[in-house]
Amino acid sequence: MADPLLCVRELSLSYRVEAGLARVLDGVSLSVGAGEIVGLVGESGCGKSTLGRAVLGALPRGSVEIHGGAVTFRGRDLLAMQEAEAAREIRGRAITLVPQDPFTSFNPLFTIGTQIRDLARFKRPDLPKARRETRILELLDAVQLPQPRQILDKYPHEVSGGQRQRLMIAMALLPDPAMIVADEPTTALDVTIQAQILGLLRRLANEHGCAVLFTTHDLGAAYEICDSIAVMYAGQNAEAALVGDFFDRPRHPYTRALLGSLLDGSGRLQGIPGEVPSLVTPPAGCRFASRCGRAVDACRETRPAFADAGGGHLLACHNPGEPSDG
Amino acid sequence: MAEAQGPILEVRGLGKSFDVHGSFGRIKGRLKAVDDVSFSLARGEVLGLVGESGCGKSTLGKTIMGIHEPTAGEVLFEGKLIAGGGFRRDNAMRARVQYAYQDPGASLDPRWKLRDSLHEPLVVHTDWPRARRDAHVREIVRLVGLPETHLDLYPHEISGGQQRRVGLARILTLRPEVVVLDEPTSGLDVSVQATVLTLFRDLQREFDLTYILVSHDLAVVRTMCDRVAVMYLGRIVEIGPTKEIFARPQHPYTRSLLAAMPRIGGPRIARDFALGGEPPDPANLPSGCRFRTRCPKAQPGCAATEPALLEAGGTRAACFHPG
Amino acid sequence: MSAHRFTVLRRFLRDRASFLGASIVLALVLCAILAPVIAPHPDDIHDFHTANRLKPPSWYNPFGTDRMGSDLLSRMMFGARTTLTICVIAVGIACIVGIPIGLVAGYYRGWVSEMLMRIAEIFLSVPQIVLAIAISQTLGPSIENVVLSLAASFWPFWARLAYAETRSVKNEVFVESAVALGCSAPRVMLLHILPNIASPLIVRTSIGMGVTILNAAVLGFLGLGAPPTTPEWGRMINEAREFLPEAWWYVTFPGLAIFFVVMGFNLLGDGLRDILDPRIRRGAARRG
Repeated sequence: MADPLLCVRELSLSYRVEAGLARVLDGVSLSVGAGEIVGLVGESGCGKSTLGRAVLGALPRGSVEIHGGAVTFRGRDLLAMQEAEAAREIRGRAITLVPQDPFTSFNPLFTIGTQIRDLARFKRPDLPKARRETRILELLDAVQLPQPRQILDKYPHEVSGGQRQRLMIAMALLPDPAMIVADEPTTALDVTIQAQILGLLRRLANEHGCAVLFTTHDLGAAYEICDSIAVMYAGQNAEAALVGDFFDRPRHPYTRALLGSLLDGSGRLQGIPGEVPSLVTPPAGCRFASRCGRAVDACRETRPAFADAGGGHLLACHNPGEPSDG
Repeated sequence: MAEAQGPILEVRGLGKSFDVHGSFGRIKGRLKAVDDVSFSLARGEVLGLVGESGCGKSTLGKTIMGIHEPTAGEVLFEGKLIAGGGFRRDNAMRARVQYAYQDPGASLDPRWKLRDSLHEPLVVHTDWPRARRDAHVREIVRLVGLPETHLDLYPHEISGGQQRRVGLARILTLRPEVVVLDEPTSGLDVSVQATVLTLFRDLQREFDLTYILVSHDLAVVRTMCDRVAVMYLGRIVEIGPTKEIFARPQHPYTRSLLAAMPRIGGPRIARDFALGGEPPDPANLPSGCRFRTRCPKAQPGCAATEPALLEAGGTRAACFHPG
Repeated sequence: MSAHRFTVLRRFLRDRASFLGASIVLALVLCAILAPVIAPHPDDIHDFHTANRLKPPSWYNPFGTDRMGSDLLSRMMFGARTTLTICVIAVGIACIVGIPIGLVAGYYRGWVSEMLMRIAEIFLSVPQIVLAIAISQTLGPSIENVVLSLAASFWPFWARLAYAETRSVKNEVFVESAVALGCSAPRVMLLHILPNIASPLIVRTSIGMGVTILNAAVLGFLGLGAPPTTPEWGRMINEAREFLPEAWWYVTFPGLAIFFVVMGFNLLGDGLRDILDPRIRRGAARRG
């Protein structure tokens, strides 16, 4: 198998907060192959947004401490890269972002057209102006925006949330990126719009051969478009597998508990008792141990290695369930 | 469990419009957030109001509650008028129909101790002496699962989940009979959601409550509700028992909503999801059926008049071509 | 927990600017209260020693003497009393009048609010000091009239501030929830809105004190304030004019006093602003 496009290996970093150091990522690993759509799933505080930002090179430099690990993209170490080089070549070019809240990504004082053309001029200086304009309209068409020319003359507050998100996708595709980081792109959208956007994202990613790192807390949304899914809990890896394998044979207790707490329409309610541990004073070992029904002593001492449990199904657990338990 | 009396709450032709302001405060037009909504609520049931943003479900909840004055129609509680027709709700009535905000913690005054926030409903509605109020509050706090020691704290000193419980406790001190739950699980993690919904179920049993559950999350509605009303642009387009709505939806919009729900293990629908476009501008509604601009079954007749809610299959749907 | 409140205090004291401001204000208050005790020559307020006139600073008279031979430092300390009394009462009246007006105007919509705010704006359209001078002149020079004119020129600021703050707090969920619960309008205004708009008002009080002290000094300087023998900083500066530049101490020390006191109140106000609001808004409220 070819080398993955993006490879995060044992990344550990912390944010400096008032109470001390919040250990937001603890030895996290992830890989994204070319053209692959990877879902990064987890609940609040699991670190998925931070990981997305780390990949983009958009971590707030002043308040972040990197303790170890590596992030390689196309073989190059992103963490070691100088800011200027990262800005020129990676962020916004080879790797682009579709953010959670499209509204705040637009400047309310300028028309959409002005902002997109500005972006195009900056990202594709190689193209002559006329070609850029054509490309913009092509992309607006590709994201199924009605009347693209009229949209360009509108202001951000004059278009709906769904349309803004389509614009963000168009702008993310503008520099022909190798990878898009989509940070909870449909969380703020209605369910019917979400279905449209997810379908669109998947289709366009496949057409352009673009990989997608899709972070979400919604397992259903991840199921809809991802080729593989990685679950995180409180800054640590839990499980990662191809989508079919993931939903048919989950093995990590957290994954199982998460799937179990989904509402299935039968009226059954089953949460996960307990609370997410503090990231400033995290427990040693596996951070899910305090809420895990299968915890053993080893769980509270050492963090389980994130290793292949068979068939490309990665697992970080000292005492996982049997595959047959489902 | 419903007694043989009439419905506890009846909504008839309820409407709520807002003025749309242009520049310099001129009134540009009227937005019909809620338009001609009618339904009845049986004692002890849970009715879900479901729909996407802009459908008016929150406004409907607040109008029933009395936070907004209706601009048309009326609301009856146990047969007596409580809203509409210029009627001003009195305090006794306010106590019996209560409203739980999406974030009940936000309904707490940040400068007040929790104890005082919990006493307040009783201070406003009763003339009980302090000791009696104290006992009552302690009882309620125990029932919602909060430690008594928290009473001397401020809202920002407890966690979000506990704030939620305090907010609910505050509503429950008055022993209301109907509670409107506004998006109770919005923004919550999946594992927490189940805990919160369990709390609501327990409270319903403990306090004999009737719920109107407003939510955009179909899975939540399916789990909690006995009946569901689907709203689109201010109107109810379908209403019926939960099982029927989910198994045999009659209205095309309901169908699309259900089709849009991701179903793990099922076919991945996102690729060929059929409902395109966006809801039209609510200040500029299409003539006739307001869903016709996106409806896969639209026909010329649909533009003529608005369909009424009629029996169709196991539910009532506002469609000329249901099923 | 109360531990939280101590961290707030500690943070406040750690900030050098606010610590300085608080110290200056405290020094002023102590001077005013303890003047008869700590002034080197307390009787100089009434007595005069013409032989001693216009002596430069020395061990006996640390700030020198004024044209009547009285010790300047002592007079200044008693002047602190005058100044503080005038300003506290003036600001107090302005608050008591302005805040309820702003609160009510902000809570209710309609022509009453509009009218109240227009009245406030009429007052505001005239520069504060000009208004104070006009009122003082009309009523005649005396301490009471100084207080009155300062209060009359200051209340609209409070009204407008309270109005703006009320309008914004009114939209908060907890206010809507209180109304939904059945709280009467007066209850909501007094018990819910007022405590929540208190922080910006408190900050403004401190800064407002500085402005008022300055204005009171101007009025004193123009002779519109206290009668001639009462020690008052502005008046002292006025008296000192004709003895410049030889008796430099006569104008310098009162001037410096005004300067430092105004700065002190401003720093205190800034420090209060930093600790009052963000403390309360920030806090747990994590999910779950």
